[in-house]
Amino acid sequence: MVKSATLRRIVISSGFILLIAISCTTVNSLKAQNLVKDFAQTIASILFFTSVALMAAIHRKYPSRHDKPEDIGELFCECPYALCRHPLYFLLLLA
Amino acid sequence: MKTYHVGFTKCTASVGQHSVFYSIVLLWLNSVTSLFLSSSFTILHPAIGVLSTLLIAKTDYEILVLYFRSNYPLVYLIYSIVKSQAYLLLWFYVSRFYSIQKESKDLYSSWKNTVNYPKRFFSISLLVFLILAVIRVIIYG
Repeated sequence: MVKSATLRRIVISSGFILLIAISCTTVNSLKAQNLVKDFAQTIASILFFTSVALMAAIHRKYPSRHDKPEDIGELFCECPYALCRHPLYFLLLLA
Repeated sequence: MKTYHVGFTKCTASVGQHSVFYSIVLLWLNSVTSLFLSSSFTILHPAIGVLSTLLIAKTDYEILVLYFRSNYPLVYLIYSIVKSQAYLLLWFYVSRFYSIQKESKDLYSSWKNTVNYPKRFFSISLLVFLILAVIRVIIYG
């Protein structure tokens, strides 16, 4: 049986790859003036890149298996966790 | 009306219809969008990122083929090579960002590096593509 951590990794990674691929193929599909549309696209792509980079920075510091709270072994209170209760979910919504 | 292929995007801009400044801004915004989309792949894994970078450089390869087949202007070829190099250079930059995240011992250092590193990447990439957009409008008109 696939462990939930592995399943999560597969689903989220492939979800992100699919999302970026769709973004790449649907660029310029907004029905707005050229400059407004392009400016909105650029801001969205910068925001997306920043969110993905910050999510990766947090997630790469988790142990490879983290199905239960005791798998992590420590309570994170610094940096993103000092600012927000669920930084990963917040960045996921932002992306 | 001139159609420019910029990475993943295709934008239409005309110096005759719009100002030179408008064309430069339009090209610049489209290049930056392509760069950040391909950099998002690189952050997940550099191998996926290099594939998207090569996809962006596909049009430059077509220009190379055109140059050797016909009397294609040399200046277009030089511009394409410079543009591909810029994309590859920025791919290396984001790959380094990926390895920094992997090498960081704890969450504190990983987060600090992630927050500090993009400041330089953002300024370099925005400047590089602004210069390329200016050169492109000057060359292609």
